[in-house]
Amino acid sequence: MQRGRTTLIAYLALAPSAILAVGVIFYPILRTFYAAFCQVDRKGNPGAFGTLGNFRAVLGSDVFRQQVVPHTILWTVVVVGVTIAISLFVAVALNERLPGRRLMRSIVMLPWATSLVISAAVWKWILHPTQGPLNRLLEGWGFMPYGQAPAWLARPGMAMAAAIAVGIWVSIPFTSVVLLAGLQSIGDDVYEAGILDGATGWRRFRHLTLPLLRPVLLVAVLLNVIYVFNSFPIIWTLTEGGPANQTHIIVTYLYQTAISQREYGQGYAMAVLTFVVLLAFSLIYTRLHSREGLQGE
Amino acid sequence: MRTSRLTKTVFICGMIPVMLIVLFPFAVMITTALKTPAAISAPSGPDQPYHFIPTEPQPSNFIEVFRAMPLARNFGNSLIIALGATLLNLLCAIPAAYALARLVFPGKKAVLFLVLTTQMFSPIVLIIALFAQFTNYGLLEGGRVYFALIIANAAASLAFGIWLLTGYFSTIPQEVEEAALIDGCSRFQTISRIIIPVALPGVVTTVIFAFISAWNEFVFALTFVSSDVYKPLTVAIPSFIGQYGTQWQLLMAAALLATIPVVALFLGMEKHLVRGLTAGSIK
Repeated sequence: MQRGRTTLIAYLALAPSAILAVGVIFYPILRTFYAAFCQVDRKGNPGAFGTLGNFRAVLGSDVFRQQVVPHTILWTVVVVGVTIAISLFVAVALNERLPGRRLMRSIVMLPWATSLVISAAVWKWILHPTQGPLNRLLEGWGFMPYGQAPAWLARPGMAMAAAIAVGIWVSIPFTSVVLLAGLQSIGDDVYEAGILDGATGWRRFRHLTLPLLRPVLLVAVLLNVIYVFNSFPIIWTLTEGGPANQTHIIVTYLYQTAISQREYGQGYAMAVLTFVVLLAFSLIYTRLHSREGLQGE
Repeated sequence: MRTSRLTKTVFICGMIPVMLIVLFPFAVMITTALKTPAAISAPSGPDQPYHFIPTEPQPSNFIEVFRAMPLARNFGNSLIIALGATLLNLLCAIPAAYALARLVFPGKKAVLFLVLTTQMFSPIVLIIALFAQFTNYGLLEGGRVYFALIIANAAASLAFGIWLLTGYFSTIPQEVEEAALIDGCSRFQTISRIIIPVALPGVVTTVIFAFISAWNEFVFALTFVSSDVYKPLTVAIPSFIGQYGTQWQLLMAAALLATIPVVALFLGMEKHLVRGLTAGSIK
């Protein structure tokens, strides 16, 4: 007799969340997919359905193909790769009984608590060509002659390198914490067995820690790829995609095209491309990973 | 676990540069915020050494910044948006988590799956459609922009809240609740007097997470807010770079003031947050 009533209570309890999620997430995403195939007016509202014009405009653009796509790949691969390498070291180190371990753990988390835009604004000041602390220190320590230190964010290759460095700086905390949690779930008894077998130092890491950490590592890579690919605030604050579109990644280019230049149709098409690319990547990645797991057994 | 002295030395030597690089921007924020305008603009040279640490510290910058920039207003806006989003998140997440943890109903698996899918859409993918819709509804005009930002931020942190609270609520023994229901408590009373107090650490973690996410949020605020009057800190501070470009000491003072409250909250709940975030990603 209670079952119908319980179901009703459950649905009522879920209603506020459902309204919020539909209004702010699910309806807009459906509308994005629909509008990408429509002619879109100057206010961002879809008109006549059934055109590939938006996709053609995006994919036909030289800036998109020759700059935005390669830079997005470079940005994602380098930021994720270096972040994972450094975070793995940090996590293994923090898992040891080192002096000052708790303090170091809190310090590593600091960039995570700081807003991405504020971090980027501080880095923009650090990299300021004439007054910024980095160039001042480099000059003071004799690495560069006075007045000759580079304008990091104004030179094409350097601007991307600087953005990537900041991207790594903000990504390390989350990644280290996830990997550290993974390490802590590996019991001490596994290591003790390893020590009995004579596995120490690098060999223990290579043959014991790394294989056991593998599932967590794979998750950390996937989450990082999604976050870094979608990361907007850092590049927007540092360079807004400049100089000469040299630091644009898809999401900053999407924003500039749609919100700043009001080419909403192309913006919708890029949003769809972004989502589809990430979804495809996630599916292929998890498929590969699960097949590998099966072979291992 | 035993580790050789050599391994420990390698770890410590490796961690020192990592720590220095992580701390460097915070050191820059603090030292710049205490400098005089002259110390910032004076060119350095062979006979005019650069002082990273200010030689004449000027704490008055932290007062001056409120006079030079509309920082108090921006703080107020950030507070309204973050508190509103946190409250709305709780109002939605607590009943939803209760249903998912305690009630048996058809479609439960589908709901759990949908909660997770909301995490797949980054704000940047949604932003154009949201901007067009909110403009159509007039939600971006005047003070209504607070409402637009509150619902967007609450939706963004909703999945975390539901996920974490469902975990906490499921650990409460069923008998405790049944006893309360038999004693004549209504469902609502059971939730407010028994479930929430017992799951308080989970509720607190959700509150802090929702608050920090909204406080630090950028894309929604950048897109929705056009008038200076409603700008939160994350949009206002980078925009000061252009407007007050030469006064880096004030900019860094503002950045530091905007960062301190969230860092304090964050370090306070570090353990709970790690537990909440990793519960979803591992296993």
